[in-house]
Amino acid sequence: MKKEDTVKLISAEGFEFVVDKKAAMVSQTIRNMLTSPGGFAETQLGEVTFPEISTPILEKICQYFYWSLQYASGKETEFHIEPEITLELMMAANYLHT
Amino acid sequence: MPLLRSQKLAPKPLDPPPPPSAPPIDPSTPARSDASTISPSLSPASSVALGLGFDSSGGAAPPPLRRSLRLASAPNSTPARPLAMDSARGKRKARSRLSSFPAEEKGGEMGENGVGPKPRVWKGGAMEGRIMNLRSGGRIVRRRMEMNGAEVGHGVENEDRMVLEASRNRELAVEIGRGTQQDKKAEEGKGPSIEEKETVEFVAEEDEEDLQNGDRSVKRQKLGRSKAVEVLRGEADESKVTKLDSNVAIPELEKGGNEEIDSKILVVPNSNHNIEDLPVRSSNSMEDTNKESVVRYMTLRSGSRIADRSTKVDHVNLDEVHKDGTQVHAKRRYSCEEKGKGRLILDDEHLEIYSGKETVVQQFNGGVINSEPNDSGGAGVPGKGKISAEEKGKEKMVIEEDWAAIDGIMGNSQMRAGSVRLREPETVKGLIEYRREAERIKAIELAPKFAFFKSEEDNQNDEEDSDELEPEAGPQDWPGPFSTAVKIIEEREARLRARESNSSSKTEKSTNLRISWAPSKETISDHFVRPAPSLKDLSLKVLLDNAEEIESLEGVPDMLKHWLILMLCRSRKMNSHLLAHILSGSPTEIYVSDCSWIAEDEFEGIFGKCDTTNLKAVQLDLCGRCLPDYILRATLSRSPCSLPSLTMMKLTASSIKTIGENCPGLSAIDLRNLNRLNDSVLGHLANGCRLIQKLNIRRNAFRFPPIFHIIIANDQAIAAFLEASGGSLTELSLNNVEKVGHHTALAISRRCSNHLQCLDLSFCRKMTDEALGLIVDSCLSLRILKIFGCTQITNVFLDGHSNPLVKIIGLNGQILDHINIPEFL
Repeated sequence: MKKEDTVKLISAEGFEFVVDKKAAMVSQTIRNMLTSPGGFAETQLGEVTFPEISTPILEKICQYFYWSLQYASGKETEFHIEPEITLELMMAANYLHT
Repeated sequence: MPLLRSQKLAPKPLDPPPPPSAPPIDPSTPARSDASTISPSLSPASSVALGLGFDSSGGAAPPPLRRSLRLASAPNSTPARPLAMDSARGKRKARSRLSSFPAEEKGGEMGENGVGPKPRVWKGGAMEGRIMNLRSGGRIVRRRMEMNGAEVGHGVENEDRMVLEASRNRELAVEIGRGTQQDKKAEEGKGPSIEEKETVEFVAEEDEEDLQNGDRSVKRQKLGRSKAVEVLRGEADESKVTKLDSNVAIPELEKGGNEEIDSKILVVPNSNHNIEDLPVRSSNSMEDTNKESVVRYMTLRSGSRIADRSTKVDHVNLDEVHKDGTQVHAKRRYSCEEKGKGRLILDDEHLEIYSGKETVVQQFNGGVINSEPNDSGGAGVPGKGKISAEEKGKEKMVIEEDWAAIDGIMGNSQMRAGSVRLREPETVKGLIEYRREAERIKAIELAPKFAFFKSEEDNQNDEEDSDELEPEAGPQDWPGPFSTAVKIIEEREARLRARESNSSSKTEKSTNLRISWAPSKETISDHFVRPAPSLKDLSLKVLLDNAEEIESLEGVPDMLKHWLILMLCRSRKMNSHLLAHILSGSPTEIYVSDCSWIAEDEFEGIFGKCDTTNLKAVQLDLCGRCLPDYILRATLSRSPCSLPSLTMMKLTASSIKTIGENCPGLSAIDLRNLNRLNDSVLGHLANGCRLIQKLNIRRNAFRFPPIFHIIIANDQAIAAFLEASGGSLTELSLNNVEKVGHHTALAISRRCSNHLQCLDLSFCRKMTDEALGLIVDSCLSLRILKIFGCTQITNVFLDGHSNPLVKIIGLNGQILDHINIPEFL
């Protein structure tokens, strides 16, 4: 994976998740961050930090990104969510507009 | 001998200006000479009868060609004449131009052929031809054909045949007559049959009976009365034929003056009895007398008809029919009655149309006769529309449309609109001829179409009553866009069918409109893929499934809470426990879309614990169960701040009072479905909630056109309310608050003039034009004014108000235009 194709998502604990740009673009918030005009660090560095989102949640979110791409290309599978994280996941998803 | 008739006819002014070309239009000319040519013209008559364009004169019988043609077609029987005459009459009737069928002819002739007076000698074949066209374009043509055929077979009475043919045409005209004619025409045979088939029979019978009714029948034919056709065919009553003759005579008379009349007159009172009458009629000068004769004729027919059919010839005000205008009217009436409900009208229409003039074929809706002296187009229109609707339901209208088409420019447009405008007969003649021609052609085209209508007709007949009972919408309602669209579609189909059948290329798809669209070659697979569900939705779903497990909703933003509540309520998983959780932590908004599950004590408990310091919006839908007065008082009294939005059901007066007392900042209240709203309620509201901005007094659980009754509230109370606190009102909905009247209007105009933007006064029947005008002109911010169902509003208001911004919704029936107007609240 070339560097140009990826973005780095950093969780509250500091974990870094490197994902495809295309995948990250599933989230409207991230998309806006990465494509907004103006000299934002996110745009230039290609990194986005989420101080409110914990690591397991962010991990689940990244999984969702890829699942969403897969779903859009025709392969419709099931995305399982553990009930325990549901609430937080919902809030994070709401924040990320995804 | 038809000759006689034709001869008589010849002198008749029937013949419109030289019929254009031999084709069907010809009949007029041949008609003239039909007398002599009748016999020989039988063959031509047949062709003429077809009106399809065969030379009217086919043979000797020129003008009466049509008629005579029939005769000719008839099995060579001498009586052919009568037939021809009949047909001619029929045609004449329609033609009205021919109108002046010398009644005398009929009278006299009738006797001679043995069929009875065949005065019908149509003015010439032209009549017939014309009739054919006129009537129903297609119909006539067909009929003729049929008739001819029938006639041919008929050895018995050529006249009858002719009558049939003519009657066919007449059917249109006759239809009207049928109603009345029934009894007259000796169509005994037919009579009964006719009666059954109101529409069809009428026509058919008409022909037979009243060739004279030709005009009428013609009209009806237009309507696509397949029935008529059927009847015609079936019944080739000889007797009828004779009658027709007599009838024919009448139309002759008519021709003189009013084409229309003639058409009407076409209603040939075939019955032999009529003969006597006919002669009388015929004597009348065509023009003027046409009307009269027509009238008489009609009466005659109606008289007799009525007897037979017991049609409602109530309003056979033939007498009152004035020559030109009234004639038409009378006819109409006549037709209405004759046919029973709808048919008559049809005839009228036909008659009028035929007259070449633009007679306003006012369609009676079951007897509503617009007896306007001058059928200036306008009148007819509404009438027509009605009739169409009533008589045949859609079909009729379509037929008429066809006719219109047939006639082309001829004033047939009226048919369409249902309004037939009367035009001066002078010009009509020539025009008529032309029209006839055109009609004929059209008729030919449409003939096959009509063939299909039979069943429809039958059904139509049955539904005539229902059709007639259809509420006659006000002037604005005619003809609604839907019915017009239906007409157009049917017409299209008919044409298509006609075309197909004409071309005799029987393809399966002939009757189906071809829609040219081919799927694009490129495969776009993306289209099939649904977008992936959002993570939020997914997680929400899971959350719902495990709702029992929720321990706390701390930190969840309000919006999500709302969403959660919504989903919970929808899935019936909501309980007080959850609600408590949701409401914990000083919410700023509480939207509970379904409080029906909450019991009173629960509600009290929950809200008691709720920290309402930040509460800004409370929306408790469907909370009838949990909000009796004391509860509301208890809970709301503790909320210091205003409740911006309050949606409730089943509030009582005291609860409203409580609200009023405690919610000074209430800015929007939606009191829908409050059955017990009364004056004091409004008073309390007014006192307490001075800042109210949105007042919605309507009943509806779906936020859609509310039909709410304020049972006790009256005009003054609402006015007082508005006076007191309407200053900041931006949206006011008094939908279906019937008692709203002048006081309210004054209050609105005085107090709400600054901010009012949306006003809904639908179904407030006491609002007058002046009141609305005052409101609109004084409320300068008013953007939307809804007045659905306010039939009392007229153009006085619409045109007279001077507020340029206001958009008035709901009056013209084009609701679809306004569908996207957002409902307030």
